Order: sequence, then structure tokens, then C-alpha cells
Amino acid sequence: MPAAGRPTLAGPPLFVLMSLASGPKHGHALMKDITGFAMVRLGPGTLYGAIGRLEDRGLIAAMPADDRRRPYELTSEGAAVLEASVAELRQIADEGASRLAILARARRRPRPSLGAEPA
Amino acid sequence: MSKKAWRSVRAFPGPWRDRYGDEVADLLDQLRRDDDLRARDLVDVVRTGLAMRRHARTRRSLYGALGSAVAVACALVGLTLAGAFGPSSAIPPPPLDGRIVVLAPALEHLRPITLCVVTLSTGAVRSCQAPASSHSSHARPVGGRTTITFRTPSSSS
Repeated sequence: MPAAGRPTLAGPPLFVLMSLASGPKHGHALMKDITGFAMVRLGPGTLYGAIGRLEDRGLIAAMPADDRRRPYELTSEGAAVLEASVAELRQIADEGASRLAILARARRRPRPSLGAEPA
Repeated sequence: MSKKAWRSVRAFPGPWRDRYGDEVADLLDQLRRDDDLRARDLVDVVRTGLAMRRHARTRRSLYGALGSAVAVACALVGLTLAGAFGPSSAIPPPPLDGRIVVLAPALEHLRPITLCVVTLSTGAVRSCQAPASSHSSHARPVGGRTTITFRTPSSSS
């Protein structure tokens, strides 16, 4: 459940927020950082599509441009949405881990042999 | 900025291109300098741009359709207040002429529905007093607007 009913994000917009959590970055730096930690190479169109949506929602903000490169930074609202999104992901991951543990226990349990005669 | 980069950025809608076009083109140039530009990067830019255009068009026609629906609802309210839906009485209601001008071009899609609503509100309801054929209604697109004129059956017909 999202924390305090706050909307959560997934996919490219979430990766952009995660990347900006470690400091302001421009498009090229974002792309390299996301490839590094998420092992996903976002295309330039996908990346800037996500940046545009996040900026429209006030989750990131553009900083003064350096030549044609414009760095972006996380806003306080963006940080809150990132926190809620990460909490939701953690909850899903915990649930997945606990179900895997149940599955592993079930597999360790000895099964009755199929050909055995009933006593 | 390379020609190829700028051509692919042109797939994006105008306002978006004004805001982010230079940055995307700069990113494409940077990838090319790093020898990391792949054909699928250009495909990604064009694909995302076309998707944005489609999304913007859908949103515009949704707003247009919503505007048309509101206009039709207002027309219905007006006709109701004018007595078009009232029960037949000893004194027949006066004939009602009117014209609805809907500014949204998206009404083109809704024209059959709108005509149907106008026909129902002006003809069928009073058909107990006059034949339905005695009313007329038609839609006429004029310069992006759609004008619907109608006439209810007169009491003498």
C-alpha cells in the first residue's frame, strides 16, 4: 500500500528519481547512472519522456542550463514520491522472499513415493 | 547538432520540442561522440515522439467531445425549460425554433448523436400533437463550427 496514499512510480520515471536522489544530473549523466544501477539502458526519447512527465508533476526541477545541457534536481515532493515508491517495492520484494521461503521448505519436505503400497 | 539527431527530434510535438529538443539532440550528439549511439536510440526518439503526438491528439479530441457533450446537455436543459418535454395539455405549446452552435470541431464525430437528441427533444415528444415529419433539423458545418437548426411542430400543423 502506498505510504499515506501518495502515488508511486515504476519504470523509467522511478529510475530517474532514484538517480537524482544522489545529486543533480543532466541527461547524459542520468542515462549512464541508470545503466549502472538498474542495468537498463533507457533510450534518449524514453528518458526525456520521463523527465518531461516528472517535471510537469513537480517531482523534479530544471536547474540553470550549462550550454545545451540542463541539469535536473529532485524536489521535496519528488523525494516523498520516491520514498513511497521504494517502500512499496520493498514490501513487494519482502512478500516475494517470504513466498520463496515457503516454496523452498515445501521442496525440502520428503514426498511419499508414488509406487508405495498402502500399509 | 547533427542532421540525423535533429530529424529524429522533429518527431516530437512542437511545445515539447521547444522545451527539450536541444537537450535530446545534445544527448544524441554526446552518444555519437562516445561511439555509443545505436540505431535503436534514434528509433526510440522517433517512437516516443510519435506516441506523444498521438497522446496530445487524443487528449484534444477528448476535451472536444466533452465540450460537445456539455453543449448538448445545455441544449437539452434549455429545451426542457422551454417546455419541449412537458405533457400535452389543452393549450398546445408554441412552436419552438432554435439553433445550437457548437464550437468544438470534435462534434463532427458526435453529429449523429446530437441530431438524434435534438430530434427526440423537438419532434418525437410532440409527435402526439403533430406528425414527426413536421419538424426539421439539420447540421451544417461552417468553418470548424457545427450549427444545428431545428423547428418543433407548430400547433396548427
